[in-house]
Amino acid sequence: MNPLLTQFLSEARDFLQSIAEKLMQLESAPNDNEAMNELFRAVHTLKGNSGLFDFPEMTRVLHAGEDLLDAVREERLAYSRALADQLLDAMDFVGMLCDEIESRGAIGAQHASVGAELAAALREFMTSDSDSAPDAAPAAPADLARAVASNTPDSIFLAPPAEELLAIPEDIRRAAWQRAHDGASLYWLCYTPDEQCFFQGEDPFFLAQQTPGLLWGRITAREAWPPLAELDAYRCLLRFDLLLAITRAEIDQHFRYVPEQLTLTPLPALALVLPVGDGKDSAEGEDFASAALHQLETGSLDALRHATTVMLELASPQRWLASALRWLLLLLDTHAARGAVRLLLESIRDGATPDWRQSGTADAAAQATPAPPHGDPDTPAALLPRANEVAWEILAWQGEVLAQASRVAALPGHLHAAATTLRNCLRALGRPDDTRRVDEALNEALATSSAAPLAACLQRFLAEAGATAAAPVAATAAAPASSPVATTASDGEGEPRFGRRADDLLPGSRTLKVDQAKIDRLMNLIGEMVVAKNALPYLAARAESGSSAREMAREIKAQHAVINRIAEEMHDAIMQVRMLPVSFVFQRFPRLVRDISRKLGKEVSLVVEGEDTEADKNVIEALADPLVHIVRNSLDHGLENPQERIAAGKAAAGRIALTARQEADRVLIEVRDDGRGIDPAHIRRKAVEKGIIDADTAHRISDQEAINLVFAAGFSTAEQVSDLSGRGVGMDVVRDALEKVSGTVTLESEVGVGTCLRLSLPLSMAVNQVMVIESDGQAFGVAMDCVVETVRLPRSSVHTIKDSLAAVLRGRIVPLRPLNTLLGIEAPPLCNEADELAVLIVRHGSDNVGVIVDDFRQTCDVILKPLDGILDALPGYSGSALMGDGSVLLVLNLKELI
Amino acid sequence: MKRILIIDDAATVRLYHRQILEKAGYLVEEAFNGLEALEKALQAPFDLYLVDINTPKLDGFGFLRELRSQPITQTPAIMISTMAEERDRQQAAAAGANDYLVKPVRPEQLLAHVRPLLGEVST
Amino acid sequence: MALQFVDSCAHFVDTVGVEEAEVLLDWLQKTPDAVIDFGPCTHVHPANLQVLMAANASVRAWPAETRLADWLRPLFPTPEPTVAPAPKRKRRKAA
Repeated sequence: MNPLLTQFLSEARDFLQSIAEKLMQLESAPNDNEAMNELFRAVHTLKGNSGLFDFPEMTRVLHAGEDLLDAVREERLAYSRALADQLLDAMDFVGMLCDEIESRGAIGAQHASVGAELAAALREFMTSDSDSAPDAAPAAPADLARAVASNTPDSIFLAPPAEELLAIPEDIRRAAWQRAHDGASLYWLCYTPDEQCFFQGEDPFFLAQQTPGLLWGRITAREAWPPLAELDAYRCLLRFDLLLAITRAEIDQHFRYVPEQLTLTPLPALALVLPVGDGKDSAEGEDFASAALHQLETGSLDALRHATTVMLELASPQRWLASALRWLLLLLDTHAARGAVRLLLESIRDGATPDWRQSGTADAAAQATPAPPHGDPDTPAALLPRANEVAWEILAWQGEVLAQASRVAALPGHLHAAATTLRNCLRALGRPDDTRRVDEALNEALATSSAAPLAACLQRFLAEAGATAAAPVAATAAAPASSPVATTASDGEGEPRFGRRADDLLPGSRTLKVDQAKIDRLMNLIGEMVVAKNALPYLAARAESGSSAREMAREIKAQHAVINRIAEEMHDAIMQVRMLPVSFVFQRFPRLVRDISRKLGKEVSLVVEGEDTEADKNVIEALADPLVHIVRNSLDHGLENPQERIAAGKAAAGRIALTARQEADRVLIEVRDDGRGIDPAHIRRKAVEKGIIDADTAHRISDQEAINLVFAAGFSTAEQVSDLSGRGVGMDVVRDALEKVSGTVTLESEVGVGTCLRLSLPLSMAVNQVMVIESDGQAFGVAMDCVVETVRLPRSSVHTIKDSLAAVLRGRIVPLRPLNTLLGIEAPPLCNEADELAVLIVRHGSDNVGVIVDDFRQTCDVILKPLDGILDALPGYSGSALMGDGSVLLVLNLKELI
Repeated sequence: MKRILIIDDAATVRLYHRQILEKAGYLVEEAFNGLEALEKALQAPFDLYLVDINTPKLDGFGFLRELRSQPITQTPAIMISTMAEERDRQQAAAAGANDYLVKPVRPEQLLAHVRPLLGEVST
Repeated sequence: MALQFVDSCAHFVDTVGVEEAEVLLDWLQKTPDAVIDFGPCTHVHPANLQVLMAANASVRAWPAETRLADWLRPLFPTPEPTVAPAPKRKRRKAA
């Protein structure tokens, strides 16, 4: 499996885990907005991720879940247990898809209908429950999806009415009956493409034509055509009705991108038994049928058969009776159930179209479906690529190669390569004798330094082949002789013409690639460590033999220095092993930018620089998500469409530059676009609308401060819901995610010129420098990178402003928070002998906050281990660290605490 | 045994193609980029080249241009790309690619193209 | 050129893509006696089809590609209706 997919899967599992937790948490506390927001974000991000791959089933379900949660979040819909159940079901389904992707590398087509059903069920909540919601989400009617999913025998009389089936020519219906008799399942499929599908580059006609097992098809208009002057050529108003002899799985596979646009009905073969022609009501028909019914009752089937044949010879073929007799003969020949034969005879007698839906004949109809002679109806047609066609294609392509060759310097090389290709293809086509003609043309081409002779030779082959190459194609077309729309079942062949396929996922294993040199360095260090260790028994012997204590101390210290150096180097070497290049994250962007810009109809060029810059694995992994959000935002909202750009005097294609570089001990990542920029006035207005700031503040703040409001929780300027960037989830998530790994993000933007986001992250996270502080007799660690300074403030200089403490420090007011209060400890902060409080000034966002502790102790390097087990859920702690004296130090996460 | 050189900077893609081709009985070698590929081809030309467009240092186009101007036995090359536009195909043809496939390439599709390019009669 | 207009006849050649639909719609509005020649056509994007259907265009020649022709025939009126011989043969065989 490829690393991208591996990463996607592991991330997806984390999301699913947290989604499940949040759902359950919300059941006990439905008003927990924080949990609600996190839940929504998780589903949103997961949906976005799944969109990077071709997992339409997964994306569909997640999108429905996201819309539902959005409605809940905006209080258009109440959270309920039933809703949670439905969401949990949906997430289980997504988890199951993940398992399947992991084990099989792809999602089986059989899940499409379940996916559609789950998505419909989720959407049903919105339609049924939210009458107050004017902008109900694009609802896929649940019953439609149900119809898709229903494949049960009781749906037998959902078959389309006889009038519809009569549109199918009799000989095709007869062929279909025969197919059913041979064991195929018949389906009536109404494919109603999305009205907007032409804009998404879809070609529903092509898709319909390529349906495997296609026996017949027609195109109809969904509604009356407007006058030409009012016609929108690109609003799809067509519907495709198809008669298929195929397995359910093949249908799901073929239409996997559009399952919600299908209405699929299993078709009992008997429903096709419909005589056509004129003169329905005839005396000879009535006489014949009365006698025939008697023969049927007495079991003289041979006599019945004979009488039918004779009657058929007498009847004029265009007549309704002749048609009915042909069906009768076919029923008898294929040993249809007696009930079916009787019903047909009765209808001949009465001169009426047989009504196979008639309630009393349901059993007869079910039985009358011809029994397959051999038990396996699912044998798929061989879908192997037609090798000869590929060879012809390649052959023809050399024309292009040769045409281009005349314009290049290395003509002989091109000519030789093309000639070899031609010779090989001719051999592959079983025409080895023709290779001589290639050789002659090649010599001439080389002699005249021109590709023309070889091209002419190729043209002759193609012209000669015209007839022969077409022959096999014609033969396959003719095979089901009577079908007007012959079936070739070859959608797997050739290039993806109408949409990409990513069914084939790469095999492989989950591994960390490490440069050989890094491992070698570790090996050397281990060697040194062994030598250093061997010195210790020698030291022990010296101690036993009575060396002086002073001398021993000196030697032990010397040995300690050696081991200390090795330990430090080992640590560094291991850190190096953990370093990954940012390309690990960057690699997904070319595809992402390409796909998204295409969907949005924008032109974008992506420039990536510094992808070799390395940082710790954890940092790189933490970077992935925010970066995807940022780039999507740029694509969605930052860059204008080509017309707007041209109108603004810019190049039609937008530009996104993604650069990484190392500066001291930080990695700097920059995402810069040349789009429309962020309008501070717009942000001010939005922020006021959303209640993030009041109107006064909006006037007071600077433009830069206004722009920074996009980082405020709950802020979003997105006005339309899209598959990609969506709404609400945005910069606040980016900021939070980065802060978790001690990263920062800053934003600059100029209206009409573009936007630039700068991310700064630590190179490494494994070793942390912490300051040990004391509070209520306990020691805690605080990460040094958030400590600005330590001060001792006279108790008298602490003021109470509106219930909270603050002090003036170097001319600025710094809010103060006693650590004991933050931790829920009742004890008041202790002062030293001089009545001073120990205050740790820490960075909090762009401000400083003072944390009042009891005392400061030393700083030290620790290896931070995240809390696990039940402690994992404790907020406020970054993890624990083992100290030199064997004690365990809890390291506080002050950002969360404050 | 026919020798095929896979040029791709992505190890997983190389592995993927290698597995398909080795299973079909070909001798496969890999190159990480165009330069490495050229070095190998100059030592002993291959029967077929699978060329990824985007490789570091020397890309697929560059590699083919160099290859085609060398005085060695010229053999077919398939350009493999994620881009499916006609323009991209033309560029590949101009660089001297004799065939063009769009990623992801399915195993049977790859073999359907490799076989005739190596002059093998299909069965 | 996938779509060629000669006097009042639109010739469909090879694959006629989605982008032609607008052109076709314009032309049909300006050409009341329009006829369509599908002869060398191998595929028509459905956007073009619905424009033709809405215009109730007359077809002078069906595609040589029989499968495509079978799809298109029921959609448009023909100046001289063609008779499909295949069913007859079949009927005799059945009899």
